[in-house]
Amino acid sequence: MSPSLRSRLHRRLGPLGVAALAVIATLGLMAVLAPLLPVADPTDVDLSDTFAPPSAGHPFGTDSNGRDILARLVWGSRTALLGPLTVTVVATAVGVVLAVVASWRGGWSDGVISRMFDVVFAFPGILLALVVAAVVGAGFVAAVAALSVAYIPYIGRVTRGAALQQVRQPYVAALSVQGQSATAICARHVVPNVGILIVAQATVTFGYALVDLAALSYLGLGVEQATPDWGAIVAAGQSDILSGYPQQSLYAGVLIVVAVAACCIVGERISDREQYWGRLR
Amino acid sequence: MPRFLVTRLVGLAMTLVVSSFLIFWSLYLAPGDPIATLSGGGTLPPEAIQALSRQYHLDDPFFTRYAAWLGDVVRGDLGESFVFNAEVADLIATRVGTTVLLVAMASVLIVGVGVTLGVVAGIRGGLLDKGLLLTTVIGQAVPSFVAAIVLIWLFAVQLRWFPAIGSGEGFAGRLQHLTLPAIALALAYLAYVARITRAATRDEMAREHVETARARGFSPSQIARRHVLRNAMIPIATVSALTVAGLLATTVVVERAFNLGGLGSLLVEAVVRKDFAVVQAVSLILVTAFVVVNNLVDLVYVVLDPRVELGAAR
Repeated sequence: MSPSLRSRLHRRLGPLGVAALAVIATLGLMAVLAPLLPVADPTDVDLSDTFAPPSAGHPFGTDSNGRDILARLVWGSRTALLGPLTVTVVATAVGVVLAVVASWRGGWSDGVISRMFDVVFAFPGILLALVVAAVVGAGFVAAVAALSVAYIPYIGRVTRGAALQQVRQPYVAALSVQGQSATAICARHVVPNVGILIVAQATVTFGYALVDLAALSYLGLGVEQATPDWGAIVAAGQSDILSGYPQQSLYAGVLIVVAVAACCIVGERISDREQYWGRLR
Repeated sequence: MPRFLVTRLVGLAMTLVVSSFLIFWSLYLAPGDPIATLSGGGTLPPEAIQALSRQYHLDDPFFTRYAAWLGDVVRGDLGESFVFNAEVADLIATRVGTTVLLVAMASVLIVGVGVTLGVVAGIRGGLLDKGLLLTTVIGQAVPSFVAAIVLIWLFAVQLRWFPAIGSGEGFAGRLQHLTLPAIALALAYLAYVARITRAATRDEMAREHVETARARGFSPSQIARRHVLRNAMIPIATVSALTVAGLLATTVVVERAFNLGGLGSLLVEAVVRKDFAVVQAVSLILVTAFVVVNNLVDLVYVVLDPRVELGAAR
């Protein structure tokens, strides 16, 4: 990392924010590089070696099926992070487009879009995912699709508020007089000007989507039972807690908490600093 | 006041009608015919199919069906569950108590403990404040089911203070059985409310009128009560109410984690067993409760802050 980038990040996020960003990057790398990492096969069942204590072969021990816990945690990061990433990208893309259209056109377009946000907002993410699971059957894709819709208003409402302030600025009228199209003004000026706010909100959304998706997997309505996933690992280990083996549930739980806390810290730091710089300007 | 109230109530009613329509319509999005969806995929005797057609007015046009269904729902007739083999209203009636008690206990924890911690940290400052801030940042990130397994492991398995699962008998037994679930449900929200309360209190402490009161020699407790809390109460109340609304969806997860027989676990079971009548009824109840509590927030806001110009903000 170049020194200038590091100092800019530091100014923007503060020491805690930089540390949180490093945690997110590490978890992301772990997910991407899972096939290259020197861990065992996460689906390798060995019924002669169940609940093994930590050893050289199994650094975190094994679960009730003799599967390597470390390998399941590492591979589990793939579904645990890919799901929320998809939710965040889709919800942000749709939410920003709707919000910019609403703030630019105003009038009945704004009315309809804002009411749509209200209606979707009436369905908490988990609830919408449950209804969708009842309609099309439970699964990872259904859960991700349902949450992508459920999180649109969380991005949309914030973006609409900020974009409304932008479109009233004189520079927008000036560009309009110069003959620039509405699409060009929105894409090149309005969205970049509220970009930091969108990034902050998207980061926090990623954290919440991670919790919701893990909860759905925990309920058995997300990934398939055999697929390693942090939420599913917590669920799989719950019955073992009563027999005195809380390891895999606790490890997976800690990973979820660390990932979500890191996202919340980064998201809040970005929006805090933005408000701070905004006041100075 | 009346104009403001009317706008809010019309908005609320519209949201509820559209939500109920979406929930009703979702039945027709399912692949296959509605009878198959409602029966959970099993084969039914002809009488049952006829009963279902009558109950859901399947031979009528779509909007007539929706109107008839909504009329039944408003009258408290939620139809019959073929998977559970019972009236949906009865299924819900036997379980709603657990969920309401659970949400009530969690709300008391969130508002009582969360607001108190936030106020104390905000006024005292110093090391206590720093410690609480760090704790709440992490606490806010703990999902209810992770909190649930840690609580079960610590207090049910290791210390044996509380039962691990089940709803319990009698009021005292229920309170005891619901203590761990209520903590698991409240934890993340409690941390959030404590943070917001702390921030609101600190903002208020830094204001000039507080400085003036201090200079005039009022006691710290008087300043806290009369000058800080009265103003800080507005954001605190708003966030607390929004948080309580959010609890409703999370009960689904917590009730499953502790094996409680509440509305949430009924909903999950209905989804797994593909009982559409129950899914519709329970999700309608949860969405209605969520929307109503969310809208109450705006009214609370108006009551707490007389400066809010009614209707002018819109």
